[in-house]
Amino acid sequence: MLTSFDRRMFLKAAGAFGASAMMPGFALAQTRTLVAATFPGTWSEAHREFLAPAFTKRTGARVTQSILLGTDQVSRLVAAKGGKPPFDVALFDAPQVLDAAKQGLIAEYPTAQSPNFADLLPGAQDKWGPQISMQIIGIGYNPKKIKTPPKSWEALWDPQYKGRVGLTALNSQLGIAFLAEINRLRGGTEDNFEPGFKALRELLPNVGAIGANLGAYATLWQQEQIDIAPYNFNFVQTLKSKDVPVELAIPDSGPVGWSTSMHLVANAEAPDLAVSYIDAHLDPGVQAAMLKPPYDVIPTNSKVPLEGAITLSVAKTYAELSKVRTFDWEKINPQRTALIEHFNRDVKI
Amino acid sequence: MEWRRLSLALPLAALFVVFFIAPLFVLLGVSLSTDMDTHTFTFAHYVKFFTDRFNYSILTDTLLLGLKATAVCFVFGYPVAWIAARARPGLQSILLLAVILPIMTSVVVRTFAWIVILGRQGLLNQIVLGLGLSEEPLRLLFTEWGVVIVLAQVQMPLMVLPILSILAKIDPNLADASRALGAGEWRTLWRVTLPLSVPGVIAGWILTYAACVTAFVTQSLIGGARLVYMPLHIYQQAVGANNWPFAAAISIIFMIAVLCVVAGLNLLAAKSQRHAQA
Amino acid sequence: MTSRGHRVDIESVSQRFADYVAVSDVSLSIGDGEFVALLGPSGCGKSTLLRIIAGFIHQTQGRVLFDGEAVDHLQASQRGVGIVFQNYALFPHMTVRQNVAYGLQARKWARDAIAPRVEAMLARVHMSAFGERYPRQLSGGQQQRVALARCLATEPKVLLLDEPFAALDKNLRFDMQIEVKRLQRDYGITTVMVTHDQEEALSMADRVAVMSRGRLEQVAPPMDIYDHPASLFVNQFVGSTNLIEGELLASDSWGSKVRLGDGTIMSAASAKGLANGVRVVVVLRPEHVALVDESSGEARAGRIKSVLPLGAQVAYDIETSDGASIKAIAARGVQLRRPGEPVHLTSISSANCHVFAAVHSS
Repeated sequence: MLTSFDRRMFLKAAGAFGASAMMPGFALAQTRTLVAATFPGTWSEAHREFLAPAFTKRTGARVTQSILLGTDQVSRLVAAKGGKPPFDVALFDAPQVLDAAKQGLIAEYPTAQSPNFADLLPGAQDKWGPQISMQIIGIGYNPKKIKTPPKSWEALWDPQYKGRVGLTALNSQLGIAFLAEINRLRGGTEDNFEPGFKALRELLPNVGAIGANLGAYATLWQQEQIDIAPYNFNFVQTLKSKDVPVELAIPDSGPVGWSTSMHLVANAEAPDLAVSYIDAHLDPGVQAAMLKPPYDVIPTNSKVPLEGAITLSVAKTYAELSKVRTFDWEKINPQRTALIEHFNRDVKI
Repeated sequence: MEWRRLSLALPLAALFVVFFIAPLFVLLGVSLSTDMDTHTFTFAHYVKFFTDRFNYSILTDTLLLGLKATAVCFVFGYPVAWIAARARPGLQSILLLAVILPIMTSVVVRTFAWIVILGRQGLLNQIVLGLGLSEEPLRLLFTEWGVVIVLAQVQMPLMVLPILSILAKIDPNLADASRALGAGEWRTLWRVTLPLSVPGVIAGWILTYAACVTAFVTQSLIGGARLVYMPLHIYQQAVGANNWPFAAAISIIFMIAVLCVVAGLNLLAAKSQRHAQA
Repeated sequence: MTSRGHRVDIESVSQRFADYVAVSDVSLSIGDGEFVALLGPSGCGKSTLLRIIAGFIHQTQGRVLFDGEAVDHLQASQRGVGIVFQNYALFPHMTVRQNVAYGLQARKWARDAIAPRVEAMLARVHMSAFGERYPRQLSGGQQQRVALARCLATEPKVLLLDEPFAALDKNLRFDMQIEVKRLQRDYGITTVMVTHDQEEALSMADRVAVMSRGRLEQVAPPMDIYDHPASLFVNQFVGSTNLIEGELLASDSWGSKVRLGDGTIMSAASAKGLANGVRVVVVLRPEHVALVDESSGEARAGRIKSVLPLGAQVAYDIETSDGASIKAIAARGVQLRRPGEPVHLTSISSANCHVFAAVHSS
């Protein structure tokens, strides 16, 4: 009896599935689906674990992730310009926001429809879309090999680390931010990157590996191919949670970083769902959950108490966090292509 | 009659036009435009490529990388195919499975496995250091030879399978006849088996070569950012620098260069097969 | 021309493949310059035996000796055998000349000695005009000539022929058989040929070795094989036969008496080793069947079922009164009979009626 009952259930389910496949409009009316972009790796995991359930609870809609780097998202939106965008919510690092806004790829954020927006730190309330977190870079090092934490960026040039320093290519945000910071410390400005490149050329003898992308970069740490390199607070937390021997030291020149933000894509198919999704990310509950290890996503909602790894190494309070130095992307962005090109030529063997 | 038979190939032809020829023309069009929005005709991207040593050094590096990897692949792959072709049926299927198995895992997984093997703390270096063969760990990752070795392994099935299928078709009496005429194993291999397997060898070379020069994942993961080959260069220009027309131009140049090498190999194959064109 | 023959001795050779016995305890001595045919149905082990002599297979038991010296430790390349395969196995990527030169190069002949030798060998097989052709461009017979030239160029001790004529059509086959026989005679080379074609074996070989199920059934000159088969298998395999069942009544060294199914008593050759009263088969070749008009003591009554003119001879299919079918061959000059005609059957001579125990394999 049981088996025949199971089979009937199965047939019913199969029938329902077939019907929904034949009548997509009908199915949509039942459950709507939002397509939202997210970064590969821990960001997509954190969003699946905390953001998607919170969003579904609010709206009853489902969310499909489109996993792309910020630059890739911009490329997709450019390619789809004038037609249906491939996703309704974009996740950008600071530099892409300017590019996307300038090219009309994102819409102004309707703050009135987003109840949590007002609770954000003042600096996070961007009219092109709320900042949802902050990325901080510092010096990553392998505590098994390097017993005393490095104090300054200059440590990378220390001859004792010959062949053990890592870098990432300049097409990653980490790479370009590192160059900009080194350039500043060596006396350059955002109009003149020559001191930065000179410093990089001097660094090359120490460099054991340059990861072509952030995935490869993480592997370098995992395989202990490199012992010291510029790295990102969140990536360090992720690797640590996987028992990779890596720590982050904040150099005496202070932490530097950039904001990460979420955006309503221009001509979105379901703008109401998109805003609701973004607002869910601003929710203190969601942000507090994502602040916990292994994600350690730095919150931007002032109602979320700052705690955990971030308070140990980067900033104890929101006031301190707001002092983290950022970059002038307005000036850097137009040079990005030239910088990447310059870097590639300098490092090519 | 002829037409009716040809018409069976129409769906494939349509597919080919829509998904290969058409995009190719789009690519060509983009490569001849000043930028993505204003479609003004220009050769500037091609001129830029050939007037800049940096660009064509990447092209020659890539073409040479393909040759090196294909050569290594052949040196290791031919004996495998030869042994498999002569093995008893049971052993043959085991060998065949061992050859094919890597295809069933993703290139990314295989490449990461190689990082574990070749790394500073990797398996190979642990052996080398453990045996006291070297004081310092060997630098294998992020070197061209590292890329060559991994490409040779990753693309091995493409070399072994065509050779194996040709070797299996060679009349076993030919090797016996050679032996009875007084030739040892090496002379038989060199004078009879190898020349007769040339069509498979060339097919293997072409497949392996095309796969090696375009192996973005393996090249960039094992080579890192300091060893720049064409696929990474194209990617950086397109996505990193958002310079789509230039990326399209170097894609076209790369494609033509690879086609030239493949055509050269084909010519070689045709030359060696003159005896079959009676 | 002096004899270049070498003796070949096969001593108690057995070959097992997993649990299958391909060759079972075969001993055979082949004299110098002798031409021996290994004859048998497919799967009888004759090809395996040939490959053992060649050195392609190392036998599980027994020894192979050339001129009294064991060659079991030698690879095929060191034994000095020449082999011609059924498909000739010419190297397709080499010209005729290169094919013939191959063995000479492998045996490290001096470079300037090779070319004249190749030309001489090609002349010998009438292929001088085809030196620059590739095997694909030759007919079957031409390919075989080249294969022979290639093989004989290195002056092998033993010539092995593996079903050499099976791929040729009938007329060409006959020509090539004569040609090969001529070459073999000229060279005086010891030759072992594998064939399943009894006519080929009987017409070409000095001695025929009939094999069945891995065993040697009989080794004898062709006419002895035909006239005095040692076993029912040989009798059936070589030439065409009639099988007549009956009961052995009496036997001595001169001959025997057998009672057939319809009660007639038939005189046959001596049934050595068989006891009176056992079931036997009498084997009678069609050409040994005599058709007579009147009934006599030993003649069986029958009726002509069909008539097949074969050129110089006529074959008859006759049904006996008890329903058995008998084939007979008669010269055409004798009285031609028609279908339906009643006849009486007898044997030309009782010595041609061989008696075997009735436990036959088929």
